[in-house]
Amino acid sequence: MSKSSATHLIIHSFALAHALVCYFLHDSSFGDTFLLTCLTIAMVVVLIRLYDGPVEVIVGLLLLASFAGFFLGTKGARLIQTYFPDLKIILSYVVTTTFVTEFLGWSIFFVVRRKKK
Amino acid sequence: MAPVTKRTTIIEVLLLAFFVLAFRLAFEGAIPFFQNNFNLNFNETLSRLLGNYPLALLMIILDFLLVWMLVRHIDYGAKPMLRLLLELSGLTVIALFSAILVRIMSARDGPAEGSFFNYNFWYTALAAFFFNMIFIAGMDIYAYYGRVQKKALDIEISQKNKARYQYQQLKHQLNPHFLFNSLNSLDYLIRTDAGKASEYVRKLASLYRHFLNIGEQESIMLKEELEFVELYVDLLSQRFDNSLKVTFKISEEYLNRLVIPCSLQVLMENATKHNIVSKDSPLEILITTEDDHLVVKNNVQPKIYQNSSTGVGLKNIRGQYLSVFQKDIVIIKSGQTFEVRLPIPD
Repeated sequence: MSKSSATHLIIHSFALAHALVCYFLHDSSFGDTFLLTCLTIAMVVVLIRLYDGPVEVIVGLLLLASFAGFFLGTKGARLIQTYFPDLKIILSYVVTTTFVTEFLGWSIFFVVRRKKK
Repeated sequence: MAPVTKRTTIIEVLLLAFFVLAFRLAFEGAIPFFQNNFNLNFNETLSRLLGNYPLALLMIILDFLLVWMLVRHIDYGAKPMLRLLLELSGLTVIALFSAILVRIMSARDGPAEGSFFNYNFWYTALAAFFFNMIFIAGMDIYAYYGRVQKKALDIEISQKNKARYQYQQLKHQLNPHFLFNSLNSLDYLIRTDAGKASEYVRKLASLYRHFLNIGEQESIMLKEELEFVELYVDLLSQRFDNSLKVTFKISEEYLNRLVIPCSLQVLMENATKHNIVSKDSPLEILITTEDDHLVVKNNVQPKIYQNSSTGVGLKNIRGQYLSVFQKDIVIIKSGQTFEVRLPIPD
C-alpha cells in the first residue's frame, strides 16, 4: 500500500472512530473526552510514525492536536447548534468531531509529508 | 557532511504520547479544581495575561528566542531528548517569569493579596505555561516545516549541480579539441619516435580508462586524482613541448583524503586554455597542499585572442564541492597569479 493510500485510510478510519466514540459515549456518565483524546493522540502517533517526524515535531503536534481537537470540537458543536437548532445535539458533536479529526489529520500530513526524492 | 539524524523509536514516541495524554488530562482536571476551590476562571486568567500587551509581546519574544537558540545551537538529529528537556525548562522559566511580573504589577496597582506565591500566582503561571507551550509548539512545527522545505531545495540544487557536472565531464571525455590535439601529437611522434608514440598511446588509453572507472563516483582519493593528472600533464607536455612546467608539492598526509574527480584536471585545462604557453613565456603551474586545501596556482599571461570565459568549469567544481563536502572553493586572482584552493576535508 502506498503512503498516500495509507494516509487516507488512517485519517478516515480515525475520523470514523471519533464519530462512533462521540455518538456512543458523549451522553454517558463516563463521557467521551478521555477516549477522544486517546484517539487523537493515537492518530498523530500513527501519522508521525508513517512519515518519521523528529521528536520536537511529535511533541508539538501531539500537544496542538490534543488541545485544538478539544477546543475546536466543543466550539464547533456549539456553532452548529446555533445555526441548526433543530438538529439533535449529539449529531452536532458527531459532525464536528469528524470534521475536526479530518482537519487535524490532513494538517499533520501537510506538515510531516516529504517531497519525493 | 550532513549530520546524521537519529530516528525516533516507537518506545520514545509512545512515551511522549503518554506524557502528552497525562498532561492533557491533568490540565483538564486542574481547570475545574481551581474553579471550584478558588473561584479562578481559566479563560479570565488567560485573557488578563494576554490583555497585558507588553507582557504578551515579551512572552512571544522570549519564546521566539528560546526556539531560535535551540534550533541554532542544539543539533536536531543527535540529541532530540536533550533539546526537548531544554525547551521544557525554558518554557517553565518563561511561564514563571511572566507570572512573577503579573504578580508584581497587581501588587503595585491593587491591595495586598497575602502570600506572593498564592494560588492566583500559580494559576497565572499555568495559564502562561499553556499559552507559551502552544506558541512554542507552533514555532517548532513551523521551523521543522521550513527545514524540510530547505532540505528538499538543497537536494534539488545538489541534483542539478551533479547533473551539470556529469554533463560537463561527459562533454570533456568527448572533447574533440583534446582528441584532435592528441592525435596530432601522436601523428608527429609516430613519424619521429615510435617508442614515445607507443608510450603516448598507453597514457591516452589510461586517461580514458580513468574516465570510465570514475563513472558516477562523487569523490576519489587525492592520490588517484594525482596519478590521473600526472598522465594528463604528460600528454600536455608532449603538445606544448617544454613550455608547460607543472610542479607537485604534496604532503603525504593528504594523499588519502577525498577530492572531486577530475577537479585538478579541469583546473589544468583552464590554465592552458586561458594563458599563453610558449617557450618564450612558459606556463608554470604549482600544485601544492596547505591548511587542508589543495592549491593550484599559475602565472597569469592571458592569450590575446580568446573566447570570453564563461567560468563553467569553476562553477561546476564549486557546485560539486558544496554538494558533496558542503565546503566552498576559494579563487584568488591577482595581477600576476591565479590561484584556486580546493578543500580536502579530513
